[in-house]
Amino acid sequence: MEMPKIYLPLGTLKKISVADVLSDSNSRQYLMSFGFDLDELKTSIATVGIINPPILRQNEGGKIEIVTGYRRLRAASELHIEQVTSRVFLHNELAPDQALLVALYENLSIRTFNIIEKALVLRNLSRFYGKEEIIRTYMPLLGLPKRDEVYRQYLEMEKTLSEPIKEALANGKIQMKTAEILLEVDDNSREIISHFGSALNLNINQWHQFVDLTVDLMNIENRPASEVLEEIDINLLKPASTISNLPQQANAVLNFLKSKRHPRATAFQKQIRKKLGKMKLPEGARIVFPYYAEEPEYRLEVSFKDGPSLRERLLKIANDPMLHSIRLPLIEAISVGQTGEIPGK
Amino acid sequence: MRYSITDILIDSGLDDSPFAKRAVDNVRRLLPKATISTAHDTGHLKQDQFSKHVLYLLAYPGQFLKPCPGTTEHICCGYQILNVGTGCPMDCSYCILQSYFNQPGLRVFANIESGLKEVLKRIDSKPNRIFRVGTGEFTDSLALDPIVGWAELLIPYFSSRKNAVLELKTKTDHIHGALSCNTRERIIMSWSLNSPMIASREEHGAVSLRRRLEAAKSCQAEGFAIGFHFDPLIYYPGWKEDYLRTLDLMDKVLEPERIIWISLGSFRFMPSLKRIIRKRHPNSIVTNGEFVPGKDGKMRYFKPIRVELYSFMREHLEKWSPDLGLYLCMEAPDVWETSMGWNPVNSEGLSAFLDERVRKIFG
Ligand code: SF4
Repeated sequence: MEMPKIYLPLGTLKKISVADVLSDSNSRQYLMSFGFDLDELKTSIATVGIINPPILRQNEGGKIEIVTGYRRLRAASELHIEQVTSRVFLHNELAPDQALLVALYENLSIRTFNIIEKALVLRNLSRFYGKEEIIRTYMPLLGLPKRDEVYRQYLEMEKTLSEPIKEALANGKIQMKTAEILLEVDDNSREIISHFGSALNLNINQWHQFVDLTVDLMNIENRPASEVLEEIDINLLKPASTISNLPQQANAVLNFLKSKRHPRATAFQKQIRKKLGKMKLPEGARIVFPYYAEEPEYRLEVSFKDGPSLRERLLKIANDPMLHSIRLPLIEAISVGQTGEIPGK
Repeated sequence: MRYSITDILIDSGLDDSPFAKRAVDNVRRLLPKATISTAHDTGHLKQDQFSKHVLYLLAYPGQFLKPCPGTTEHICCGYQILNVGTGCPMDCSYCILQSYFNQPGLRVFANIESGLKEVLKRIDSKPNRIFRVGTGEFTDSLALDPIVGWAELLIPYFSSRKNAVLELKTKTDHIHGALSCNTRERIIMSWSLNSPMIASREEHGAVSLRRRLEAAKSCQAEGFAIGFHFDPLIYYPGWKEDYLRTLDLMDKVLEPERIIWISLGSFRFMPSLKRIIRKRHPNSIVTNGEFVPGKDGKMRYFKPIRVELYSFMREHLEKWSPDLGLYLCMEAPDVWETSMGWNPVNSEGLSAFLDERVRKIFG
């Protein structure tokens, strides 16, 4: 692999106004940081100061660009440090593409990038390098597979996703596969789904289910997210709703979406729960049914202290009058009212 | 069938092989504008993973014959896959090949003849076992036949063996190669069928159902055993009427004779395929059904829906003929029992049933 070689001169050590650099949005064109927490860095700077000076570049117009050290400058700003000693390069000492590589390699040497940061790096690289070269040379450095599809997906994510979703991705609150589904839908629907999901304070798995189910229903019913989720608003989220607590509300929303996406499986689960609920099972016993009727059997779980107590519990189960009505899971599933065909487009 | 092949790429070292030479001759005749280059010369080729523009002729380094990858949870037919190539010039929305990321383009293994020696040695070493061999798992068996001549190459080898059959499964009408062979022994020409709506809306690049059935009729008339595969069956509004139209067409075009088997399989897929389908085929309806996760990680229709699909197809196919060798592809024993009225119990049971069909048709 042929890598560009940069021999970085020392630059000039200068005291730079933190506020001036940070207030100029053009100064952040090499930025590769997203969704970070400054607390540890602030503690470190408050204790020993900035050990490694930020690298800055003075462009042709005399403006300062941050090559490395954006977080250090932000932390300094929050600590009310007005000036920070930095290594400053003139535009003819450090070309923009070289500045980007300096930023990349410095970051790579001290930390791993989160998903959004990887996307930022790829976007920055695309200003200077062709797609083939980025895929071949830089994607492996970021731990990404050398695939055109992945490259395009990261760029699209960086460009398209809203800030809250990017933050959730960067902080591991939603998975990449969830974001990928969000990329499939129109901007408005994406906003609505993101907003709705954030309001429910979903965990990582719930987020995935929520997005997956909503987008499935949008496709099946050929309706935008606003219409699909509107029904939830009415049914579950109106102010008069008795469900006040968020986790319960999240579950209620997911169950509602599941029952729409899987009407027959949901009806089966409901029926079988009702039937099993009528059995008078002894304490310490429960019957687990195959959730989607995929497995052909139920499972009985009984806890017991000794032989006689097991016998007693098993006898009680064996004599339960409901037992005869419990049929093969598949037969139970077939017997649930056939709710008709799935709507198509 | 119209190919979108613009580049042929031959692995260096294979350009002198008779297989590659024949393919190059056919390309020059059928696709005069296509560029032909050797493998060290690939710079100009696009590496789009879904590209159907590039046909690679390369050497396959692995074993050519492998058992069909079944799962322990389902009853598998015990088929052997002869790996002649991967990728397909057609573009069915539901095609599982779309999730094979690392192999862009159409890949044909030009060292098949040397690989066959090993395969035939294995078949000959087990004279008491019946090898049901097919090439249509990672590609369509005949889609590239006018270029690479698989049928003419393979048929003579399998026709001369008493313990093997070769099934060439397709959605095309490329039967010329097979018909030009002077033997029909132990060869099964088979077609994937679907409802007219699914065939026209989801099976991009495939020929119409009528043309498939006309091709089957020609093969039947020429003495070939024939097979059909209703796979994947898709559940959508109006599916019953639609599948009946296909069965009507079968009845109009064909006699239910020398049909070795008809398989039924419902749409199943790894979850990652859903996104690919939606992205590549935004108008597709195949992912709309009520799919639930199975123990093998694949999504399948909720069981009662599968039973409904199979029972309906079985009922109507059996009206056409009671002797069609109907079987289910990758299904659970309880689904078999409920929809087919019998249950092979396990993969050995289904293999025995299909072996019996082979004996019945070929002796
Ligand atoms: S014909 Fe078969 S191999 Fe070809 S695209 Fe369709 S499903 Fe895939």
